[in-house]
Amino acid sequence: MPNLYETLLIVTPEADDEGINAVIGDLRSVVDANEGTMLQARIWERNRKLAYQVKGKTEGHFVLLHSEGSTDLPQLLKAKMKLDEAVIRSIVVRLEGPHEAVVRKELEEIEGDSAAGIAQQMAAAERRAVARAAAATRTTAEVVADEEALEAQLAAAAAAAAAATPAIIGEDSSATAPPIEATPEETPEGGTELDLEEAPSLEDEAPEDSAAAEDDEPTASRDAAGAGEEIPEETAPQADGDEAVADEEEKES
Amino acid sequence: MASAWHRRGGRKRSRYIEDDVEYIDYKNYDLLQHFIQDRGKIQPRRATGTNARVQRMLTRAIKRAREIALLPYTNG
Repeated sequence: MPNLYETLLIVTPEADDEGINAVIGDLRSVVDANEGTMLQARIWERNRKLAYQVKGKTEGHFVLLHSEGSTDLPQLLKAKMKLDEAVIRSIVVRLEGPHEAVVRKELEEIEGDSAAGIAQQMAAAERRAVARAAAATRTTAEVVADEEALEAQLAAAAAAAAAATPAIIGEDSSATAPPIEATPEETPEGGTELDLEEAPSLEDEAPEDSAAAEDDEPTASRDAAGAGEEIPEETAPQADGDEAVADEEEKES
Repeated sequence: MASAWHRRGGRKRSRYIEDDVEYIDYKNYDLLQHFIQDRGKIQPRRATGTNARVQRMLTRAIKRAREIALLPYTNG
């Protein structure tokens, strides 16, 4: 005997009967595709208050499903409900032992879902699928329009940025300039165009200063190197002197 | 509030559940409500008087009910 699964799910309170039927219809097709049987599907409680907020909702329609199927079924149902934005919470439970026996008996006693009801659910599911597809295409069209608008905005922003960047550079140079030169006080007072012209000159000067500073350091090091060279020159004569002394000693001996 | 248990045959018994109950449905929130504290915690056996088998079933049912927002995880 295949396993008996009970599914309890919460449908968003905004959904009407049509919406609930569409959810049930979707799940029914999942069960059918998996060679299972949907024994019963019904609304368990309508507009029940939730014990805590779920996806920002404080109440919802509780739908109860009983279905038979293989061990894959719970996973498939869960996956389907997770993708369905109308379902805000769900639980799938395998009924076993005494509980299963009781529920099976109840299911036998009550009439199964009417063919008309099932057809209604499947139709609702189909209508929703069509509506979703339409919404999807519309959204893609909207996305294209949005992208175009965004591109136009970006172009405008780029133009604005191009106009604004000189001012920004002027501000930057004025911010960096004070330690280098005393002139930057003029840059805020001057127009942006003047800033444009002044800013590069300030920037040009700064590198020159730094280059000069760099030049100074090498020369100092060169001096140091020269001093270093001189030392061996000084020592060399001494060595020569020593050798001369040694030579003299050899001569003496 | 009257305690959740009473004595019969010298032992504590739960006021709400028979010792030989076959299963506890997680959808029966009115029943489960008796076995959680005001803050939402599951009551210990010493407070409810259920036997170990029933307490296990209760725990499972309460946890399932929490999952589907029939019972709170915590209150306040």
